[in-house]
Amino acid sequence: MTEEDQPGDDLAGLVGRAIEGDQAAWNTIVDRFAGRVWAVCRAYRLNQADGYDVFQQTWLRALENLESLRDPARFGAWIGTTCRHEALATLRRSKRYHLVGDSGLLDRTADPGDDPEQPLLVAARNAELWQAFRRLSRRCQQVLRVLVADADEGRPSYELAAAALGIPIGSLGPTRGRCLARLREYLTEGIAESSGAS
Amino acid sequence: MNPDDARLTAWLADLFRAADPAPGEMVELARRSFALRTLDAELAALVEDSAGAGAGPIPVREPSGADPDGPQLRQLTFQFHDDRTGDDLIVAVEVAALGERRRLTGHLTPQGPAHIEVRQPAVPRARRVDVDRLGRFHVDDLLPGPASLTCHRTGAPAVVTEWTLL
Repeated sequence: MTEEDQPGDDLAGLVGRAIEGDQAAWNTIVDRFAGRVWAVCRAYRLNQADGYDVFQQTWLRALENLESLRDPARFGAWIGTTCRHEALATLRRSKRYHLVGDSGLLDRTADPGDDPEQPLLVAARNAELWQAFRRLSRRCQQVLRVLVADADEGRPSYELAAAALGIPIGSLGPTRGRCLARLREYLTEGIAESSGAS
Repeated sequence: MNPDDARLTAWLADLFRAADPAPGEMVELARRSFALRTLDAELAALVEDSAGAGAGPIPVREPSGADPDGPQLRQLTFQFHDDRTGDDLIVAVEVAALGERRRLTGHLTPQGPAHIEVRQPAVPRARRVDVDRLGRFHVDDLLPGPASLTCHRTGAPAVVTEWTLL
């Protein structure tokens, strides 16, 4: 669980080739992590414009620091941390210097009336799941959103998620389990309610 | 992970992949930003940000005398320390937010003949402005979002400021 989700050599190799100027290697890195970086932007409830800015800024910071990464194999944790810093800084600025600590931002409960991350295209078969997900605590939504955002290999990105959310990696597994159990409850309730109403 | 958790996780992954994937145009910009790598320039770090967004433990300074109806002003200071000569280059910039545009008023220390290029990933060509004899420069009509300044001085290596969200 403390291993990066991709073989470290492979990632370190890609970073090394990108440093040497290999655009294709850089593209592979972007494609592999884009979904996760976007998920982090969404986990911090950035609106679309801020989300776009933080996403771009995160990649530019990655390029800028590529050569000074101490451990290229842990690029996932590094980019998770970077995205978190940029997202929190953007949230602070949008509050016009009204500072809120990390924990304050993370622990805000979901406000159903003001949700910038509402996907527009929830297919019918996913609507129940989306409704149940929306009822979860903010922390559960964050953890699940970032953990399920995967490249095609489909394995959870624990290092990136822990770094991106600023929580200990050891607590991710238990938190995920608890959140999934809660989600299952809400799903069952939702299905029972909708079948009772019809 | 138990089978139920695995199924639910896969369903969630499906949901977000279908409903809220990383925007294609942003992914494309991230790929293309590879061309914005600066290979032969020194990096000036953001050492002070009045909005408290700097990387280090920097004291946050409230904007003094800010007019609530005027443009939002933010002070950024970038610094490059040349280990060989012991000299510092300081780029101080005031960012004014004017609706969907940003205006920079800056000052370069030490003074001397120089020009500045402003790069933004969404803008194909860098904007170039001259620095006047007193080290001052102005850039209007920038977009909100990431930006980096490149300082070109006669007889000195180029210095780029670290990417910063305007």
